[in-house]
Amino acid sequence: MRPVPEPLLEVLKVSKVFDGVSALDSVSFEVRPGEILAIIGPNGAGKTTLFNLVSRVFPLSAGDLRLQGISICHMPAHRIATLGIARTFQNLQVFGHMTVLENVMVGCHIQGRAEMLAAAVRARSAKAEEARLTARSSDILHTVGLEDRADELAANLPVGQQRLLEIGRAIAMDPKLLLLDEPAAGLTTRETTTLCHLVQRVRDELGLTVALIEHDMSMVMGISDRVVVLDHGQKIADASPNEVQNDAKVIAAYLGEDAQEA
Amino acid sequence: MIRKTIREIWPYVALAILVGVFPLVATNHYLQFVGALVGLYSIIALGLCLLIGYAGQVSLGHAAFYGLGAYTSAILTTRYHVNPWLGIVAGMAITALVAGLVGRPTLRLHGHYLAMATLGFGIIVQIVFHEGGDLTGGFGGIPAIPRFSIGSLVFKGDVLNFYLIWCFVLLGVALSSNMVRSRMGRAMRAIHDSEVAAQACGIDVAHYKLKVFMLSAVFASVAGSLYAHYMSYVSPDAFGLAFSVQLLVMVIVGGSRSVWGALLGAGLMTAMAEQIEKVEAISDLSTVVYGLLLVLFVIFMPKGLAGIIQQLTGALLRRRVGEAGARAAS
Repeated sequence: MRPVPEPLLEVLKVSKVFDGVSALDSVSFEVRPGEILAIIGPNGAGKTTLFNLVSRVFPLSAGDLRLQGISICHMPAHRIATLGIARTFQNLQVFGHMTVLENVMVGCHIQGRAEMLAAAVRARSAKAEEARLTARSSDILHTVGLEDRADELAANLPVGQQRLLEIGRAIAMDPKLLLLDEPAAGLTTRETTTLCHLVQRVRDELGLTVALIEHDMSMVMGISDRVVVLDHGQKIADASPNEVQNDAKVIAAYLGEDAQEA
Repeated sequence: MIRKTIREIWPYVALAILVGVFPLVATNHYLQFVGALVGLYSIIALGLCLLIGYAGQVSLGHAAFYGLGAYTSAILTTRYHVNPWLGIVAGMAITALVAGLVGRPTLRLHGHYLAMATLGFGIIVQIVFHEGGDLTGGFGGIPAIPRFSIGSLVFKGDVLNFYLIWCFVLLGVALSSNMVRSRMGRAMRAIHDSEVAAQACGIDVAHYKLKVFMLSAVFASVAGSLYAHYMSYVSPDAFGLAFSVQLLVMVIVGGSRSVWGALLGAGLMTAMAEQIEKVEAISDLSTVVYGLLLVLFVIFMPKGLAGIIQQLTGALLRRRVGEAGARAAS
């Protein structure tokens, strides 16, 4: 055991090239256990690409990703999830034809063991496990505040609640690291406040480490311990919220985008 | 709670009564024979329904798995004097193994490679049946396959086999609807809705697709064994590509997202096939009709007849729930 806690996730000189276009260029940083890390940057900076590499939606072009010292960049997506990385999606990916409760139960998938045969004959062990997963999922719905929508089809929920459901589904996996991709997008100010409390509770009460991509600056500055700023696929800052706000390069990156848009 | 139980059980009770009464009402041997066939096809369609509706994959080789079960039973019981009940189990094991070998390389790929692989596989299996020499009996097939028996009760004739086959159908429906509502069933449905999110939840997509494919092949194999001992004769003609396509049409017409759709499709398509065969003026009429049905259902009614029935019966209920939901939201 070392005196200094090892980083939970290490992003080491990660690059991603899509058809000759560089989306991420040798980005390095670490996620430390127990922190809330925000990843910000103008549109097209490569933030979601970074999450997609960590959760292995597609492979990286160069570099390495390590979870507690173990390289995960050659593992299939489901394996990475099993090792303790859960995520939500910017373009919502709830299981629309399933109920809200079932969505969270899918999140509990890796905690179950019941396989085909046991399930088919409704073996006692399978029934007990099912009851356990149902109870746990109900608890989680309570945590994210969707307990009264449990039997609703997920596709029928408004955007704000679908975002909460995705967080619930991710928490159900009992992960070490929770990746939130623009959790406040499409949320009202009041919903965003609720979300901030939820993220802090997830960290404080469940002990999860959180990395989040967000455009809502009040949320970023309010809850994060540290901020990594990306611009055009490169890391331009990695500091506390206060320091980042006053960083000349960061201001230039955001102003540059505004100037182009205007 | 009690109401929920009743709602879950009533289709089984209704089906059991229907099955119990059918041979008493339809005393005609031909009808009883067709009824037994519908049962056999229902078993295969059930498995295929799990594959199409839950794994999103298409198989054009299920007639071959049906044949694999039938021939395994036929060969083991006639050549090696194995008990017919054991023959079913042996058929299941061999079919699962073969399906695993066919599915493993193809299901790791995205897209409909399984359809192509099973198409080729089906043709190869039929060639093996034809050219198997003494083992498979070649074109002539295998005659004199012993009947099932429990003690002194020998399952001879249409009525007894009808009941036996439909017991297996009921068992199949119960097992598959349990599975659909289990952890594995949820994983399958999740894959259907969003593969990327399912993987992010730790679900091994290729693994589950392979499992469902093997299970669906085993269903076909059981039907094949039952067929062999009922007919007491097998020949290669019953297990060709045309039958694989017919099975596919049954599932699409009946509805692939409900286990009851499989039964509905098997019943309707078998009844229709019997009618079409009476029209001798137009040869190959059945091919045209199947093709047409397949296209029409895929385009206009992707949920099949079961989906339409669900929509009709659920419309009223859903309207009420919808109103309640709107009130809760506001």
